[in-house]
Amino acid sequence: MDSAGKPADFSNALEFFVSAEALSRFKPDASIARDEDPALQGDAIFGRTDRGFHVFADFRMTTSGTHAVERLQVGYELAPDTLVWLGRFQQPASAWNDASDHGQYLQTSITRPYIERWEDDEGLIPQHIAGALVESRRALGPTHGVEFSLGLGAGAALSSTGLQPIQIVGQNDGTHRLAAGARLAFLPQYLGADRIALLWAHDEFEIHDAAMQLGLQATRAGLDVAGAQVDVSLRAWHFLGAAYFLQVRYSGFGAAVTERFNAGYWQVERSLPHALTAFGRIEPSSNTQRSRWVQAIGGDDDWAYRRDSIGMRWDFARRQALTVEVSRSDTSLARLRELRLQWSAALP
Amino acid sequence: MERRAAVRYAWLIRATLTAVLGGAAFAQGHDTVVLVVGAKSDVTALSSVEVRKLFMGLTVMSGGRALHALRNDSDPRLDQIFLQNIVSMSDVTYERQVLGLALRQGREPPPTVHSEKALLRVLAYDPAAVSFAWSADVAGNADVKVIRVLWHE
Repeated sequence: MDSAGKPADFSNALEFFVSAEALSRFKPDASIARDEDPALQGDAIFGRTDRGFHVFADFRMTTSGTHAVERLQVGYELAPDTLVWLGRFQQPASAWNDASDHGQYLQTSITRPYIERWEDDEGLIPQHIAGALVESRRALGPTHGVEFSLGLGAGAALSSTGLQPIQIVGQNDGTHRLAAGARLAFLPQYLGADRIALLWAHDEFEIHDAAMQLGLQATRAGLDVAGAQVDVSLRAWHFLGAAYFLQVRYSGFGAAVTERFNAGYWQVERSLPHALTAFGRIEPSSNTQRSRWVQAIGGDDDWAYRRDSIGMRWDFARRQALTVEVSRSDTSLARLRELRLQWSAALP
Repeated sequence: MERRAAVRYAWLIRATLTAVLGGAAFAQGHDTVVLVVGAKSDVTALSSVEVRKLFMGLTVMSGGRALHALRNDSDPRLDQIFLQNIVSMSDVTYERQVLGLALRQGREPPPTVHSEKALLRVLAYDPAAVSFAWSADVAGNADVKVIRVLWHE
């Protein structure tokens, strides 16, 4: 900022997160309906802070057809670092959203873990809530800190194409039900990047689509998520992981039925000379192959019950990175191998 | 015998370099980094935690007003001291932290000034702005208030 300064009582933020990706599949099987990653994607982030009031918007565009207001929030800072928001926001019980959200540049790997996928990408857990969100970060003694987030409102509806969060622009079918999510994080250093967190979410659904009713054998469902997150750095090493325990209760078609399955991921990163970062990630799960929820929401044969990835990222210039990632995914029908190359940046 | 001579030469080279570089730093007064605000600012004190919070993009209030951090990279060595001693993070980690806050809450990452002239201009204009500078660069400047020493060689 070499020009004249800004007025004292407000500040504006305008950031663009953009990425371009190329994907190659080894031994592609034409019989498997495999989703394509968007070749180009971008998020425009606008924020304004004025005398404790915050306005925040996130507009997303991709070459696979997404043009959406992902988040629109209006908030007030009750005390320093304690905010109350109203609007559509990301549910706080996601470890990946907390770390990198939509910003491809902010995540070391190219791919999001399967269990953290967005609703429009056949994600299993609703990632957006329209309602109220409280976020707070407090010191805990002279060194440590604690971070707390609680969101409550209308969650995703369940349609023939999967989970559908409330749209800010466009039509909603009126079947959105209660959703809640929370994260409680211990920060080993109050102002550091490390955190160890407990995650919790609850979502309720009414199922009106006949095919979905048949697939799930229910007209109502309740999803409970409990999880834990670890995000710590040790010298040149960075460990990032989350484990989610999911329980779905089905009712409306005879006796109520409950199913449980687990999914998670563990990612290790190592900083190397010349601004390089090597990374590897495993994404194990259990009971997902027998889950009605995974079969119905995961959609086609795309959902992998296990994926292993390795890759390398090179940070160059200012806020730009090139990343290469190789992965092996086990789906219900086949083992898939993929190679991705990505350029990502945060602008300006 | 030859090894002893080589060791003596290495020591002499090190001593000469230290004297030259140290002398240059001393001549320029670039051995102390101070926290600065504009002369009209009502900020009188900030703790180490508050300074770090401020430059991490979090809210720090003073006199009922939110303060604005201003990163000063007019000198590469000053920016290095900022990363190592004020926010205690690598450049990449710091960028990710402040960009992450922008992405999660729409908070503006601390803007950067690239020259001493620009720094003085912003401090004079914005009484909520807080930055850092070499002590020698702001000594005797009536438009700038020094709040505290952040780093000393």
